[in-house]
Amino acid sequence: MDELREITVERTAALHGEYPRFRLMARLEHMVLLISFTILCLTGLPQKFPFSPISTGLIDLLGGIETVRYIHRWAAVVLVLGSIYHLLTSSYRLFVRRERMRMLPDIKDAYDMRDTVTYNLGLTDDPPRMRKFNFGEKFEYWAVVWGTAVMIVTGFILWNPINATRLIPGNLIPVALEAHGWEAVLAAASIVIWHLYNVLVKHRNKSMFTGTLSHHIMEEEHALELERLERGGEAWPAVPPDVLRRRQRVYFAVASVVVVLSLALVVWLFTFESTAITTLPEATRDVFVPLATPAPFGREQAGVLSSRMRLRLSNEAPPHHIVLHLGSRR
Amino acid sequence: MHTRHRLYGLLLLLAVAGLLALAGAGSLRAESAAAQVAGPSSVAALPPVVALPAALGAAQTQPPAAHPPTDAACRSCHGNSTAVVVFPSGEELPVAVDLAAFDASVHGVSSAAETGAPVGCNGCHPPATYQFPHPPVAEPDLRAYMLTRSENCVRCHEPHLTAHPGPEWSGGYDPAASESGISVVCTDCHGDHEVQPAEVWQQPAATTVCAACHADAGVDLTDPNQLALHVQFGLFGQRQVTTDFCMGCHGPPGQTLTFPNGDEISITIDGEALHASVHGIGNNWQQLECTDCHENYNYPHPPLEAASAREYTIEKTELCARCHQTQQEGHMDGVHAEALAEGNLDAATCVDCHGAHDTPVPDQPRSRIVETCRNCHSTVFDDYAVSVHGTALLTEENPDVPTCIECHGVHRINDPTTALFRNRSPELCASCHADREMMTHYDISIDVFETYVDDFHGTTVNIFQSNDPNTPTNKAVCYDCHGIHAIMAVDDPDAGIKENLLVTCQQCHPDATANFSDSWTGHHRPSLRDNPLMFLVTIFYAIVIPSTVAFLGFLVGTDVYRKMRGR
Repeated sequence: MDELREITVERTAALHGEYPRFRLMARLEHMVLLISFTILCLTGLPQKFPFSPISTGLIDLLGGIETVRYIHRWAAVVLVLGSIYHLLTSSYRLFVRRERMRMLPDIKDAYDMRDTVTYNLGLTDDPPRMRKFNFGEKFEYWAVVWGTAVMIVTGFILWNPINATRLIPGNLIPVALEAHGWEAVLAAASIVIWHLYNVLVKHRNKSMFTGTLSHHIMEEEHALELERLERGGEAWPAVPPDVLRRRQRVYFAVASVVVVLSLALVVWLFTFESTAITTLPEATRDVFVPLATPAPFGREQAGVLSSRMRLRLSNEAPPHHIVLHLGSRR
Repeated sequence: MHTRHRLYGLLLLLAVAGLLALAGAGSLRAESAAAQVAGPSSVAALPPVVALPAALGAAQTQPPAAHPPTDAACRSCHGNSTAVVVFPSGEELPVAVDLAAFDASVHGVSSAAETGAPVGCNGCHPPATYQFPHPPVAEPDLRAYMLTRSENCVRCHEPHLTAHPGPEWSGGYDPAASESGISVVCTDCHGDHEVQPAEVWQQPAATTVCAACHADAGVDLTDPNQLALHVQFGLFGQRQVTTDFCMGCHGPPGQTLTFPNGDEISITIDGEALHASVHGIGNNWQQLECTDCHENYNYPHPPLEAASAREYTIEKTELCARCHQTQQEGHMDGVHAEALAEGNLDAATCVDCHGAHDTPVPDQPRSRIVETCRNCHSTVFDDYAVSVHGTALLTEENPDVPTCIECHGVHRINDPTTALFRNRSPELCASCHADREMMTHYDISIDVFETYVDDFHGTTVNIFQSNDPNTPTNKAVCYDCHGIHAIMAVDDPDAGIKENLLVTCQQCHPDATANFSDSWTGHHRPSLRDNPLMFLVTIFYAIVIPSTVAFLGFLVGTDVYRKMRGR
């Protein structure tokens, strides 16, 4: 199935002078990440900066802080599921299709970055010729990996502080809160400055939605990959069907166990601590407890007090208690 | 020395007068002889209750005259004399007495039934001082003479209390404190020689006597309704009813008023307390009169509309509102007015807190405030009294600690059970606890509010507060951990939050373990000393975020630069 679809994409692309870049699985992954990340930022950053009128406005728009936190957790679950999915497809490509790990950084990336800067500044005449994933994309990828890991771990601690402290010292909770908040700022800043510039401003790069990239962008950003494809290189190496089937059997056996365990883990996480906080029941307290002496007004007017007391009894007025909201229902 | 000189002078005068009498008063000899016969019995007729004032006693020590006076002797001259006494002031007093009217008066012949013999002339004009020939008057003017003569009345009559000012012996209040400065004495109303029996004073016509002083044209004082008008529009010309007038009845102790439901209250007003109150001499506007509050409340008083004492008190709240409008408006927005509107008659009104007539300065000393609230909220007071705030106030009159009103408001007392109050409460605490100047005195950190807001609880409450202050929240506010009224020092061994942190956390987080309470940063800003890991994480991101942004910004910048050059 995958193979068929990929070939179709490849041919379509070639017809329009486009070159294959992302397979459907990767594009889906990106969509999941795009949606969950955006929602997490929109619901999380206002909590990091509660004093900003933008934050309060956004929270108000989304239905109040409790709703915002609810959305944030659901988006987190989606992000966790997307991460699991990424691990599964990555391991599929690694163990079943035996693809090269082209996302790993190496020394050429450092040179590419240097050459890009010197070229941009007009110090050199030629831009660096880069591979399928250039230094900027690798930076982004590993930033997301690092960031997501930090966010999932710290987020779990913040979500389940009571049970987390059965395992870790309590003073790690404020640390987790601090890290969670600042990591979010870092991630959001990186995405806005770097990613959005590259795919929206520098070029209108739609490859994450179409799966293909134009000759023009390929030449500028992935010259070596363009050259390889034009030489007739395959976008993704084919695996002989019998070998593929054999490897898939092992993979799916292992993966299904991992998937089940992962899903169980997510469900467990999501329901780990349903009542981190218990709303205290409403307490009532008699606040009208007059002193016998002196009378409420006029030191010499004790007679008035006694008549008021009589009045209270004779009218059978309800006891004057007051409800203290020591806590309230969620 | 003076007394002796005066005594010699008096004796000299007496001697001269005696010589003149011997020389020129032969025609009175017969009557004098008669007086000699009747004299002893007349003196014996004096009631035994008579206790002569010391001055009169001293006068009695003078050698008795040869001819003790008798009524007959008095009557022989004073029945139809046209003589007048001339006072040093120039005023004149005719010496003639309407003998018929005197005989008909209560001191006349009919008084014999009660006292064994008529009071007669000597009953009031003691023979010792009215020996004939009469000594010259000692008083400088007619009024002083009348005051001195009235003093004779109390020899037999207990003075009765009136609304009038009078000398000390009269039972009236101090004339110096009255507006007119005039003493009103017995004879002013009762007359001198034609004293009427008590029953006469019960009749409306008796008010014509009042008119003698309180004259105002066109008013019929015998008509009670007209009298009320008269009182209202001025007893002395246009003069208003004065405090003196009211205090005439409300000053003496033991005055009570009974309401239709049987409530009996004292209507005696402690004049001293009223005078010393904020409405008295302490008033920086002007000293208030009774009628400034009890407007149109004249004598005779209109019938009570209130069925009970409490109802009356509540009704009269409007009196205070006439001047204290701002406070009244605040009060109307507060919980007490709300409770009253719901039918709770116990709800505090103005006088419950401020007193009615003895209104002191309400916040002096500051502990008066909490003692005032205590009257109705005694159990809350008990909590407060043991708190850090309460002990500081009650033991040393600390000027900084909050009393009830700093948190709850003064007149616009907000309902402390609302979500709004809860959500805003941290700011309330912060109004003092984030005040550097105030907290420095007590060595208390002023970071407490900001560290709270930076923390999860505070962030949440702050978001609630900004977005929808009326949304209830279960996130902890200051008083959830520190206590509401019984706020203890954090290091109090029994109830301090430091010693009992886990217990405190478990109020809301029942499953919390010992580790969990370590998650609380104790209002400390992260530093190498307090929560160093958090400090390091903050430092890490403080370096990483700007450098990442700078690095990526640099790369983007070079790219923009390239594009601008059109490459």
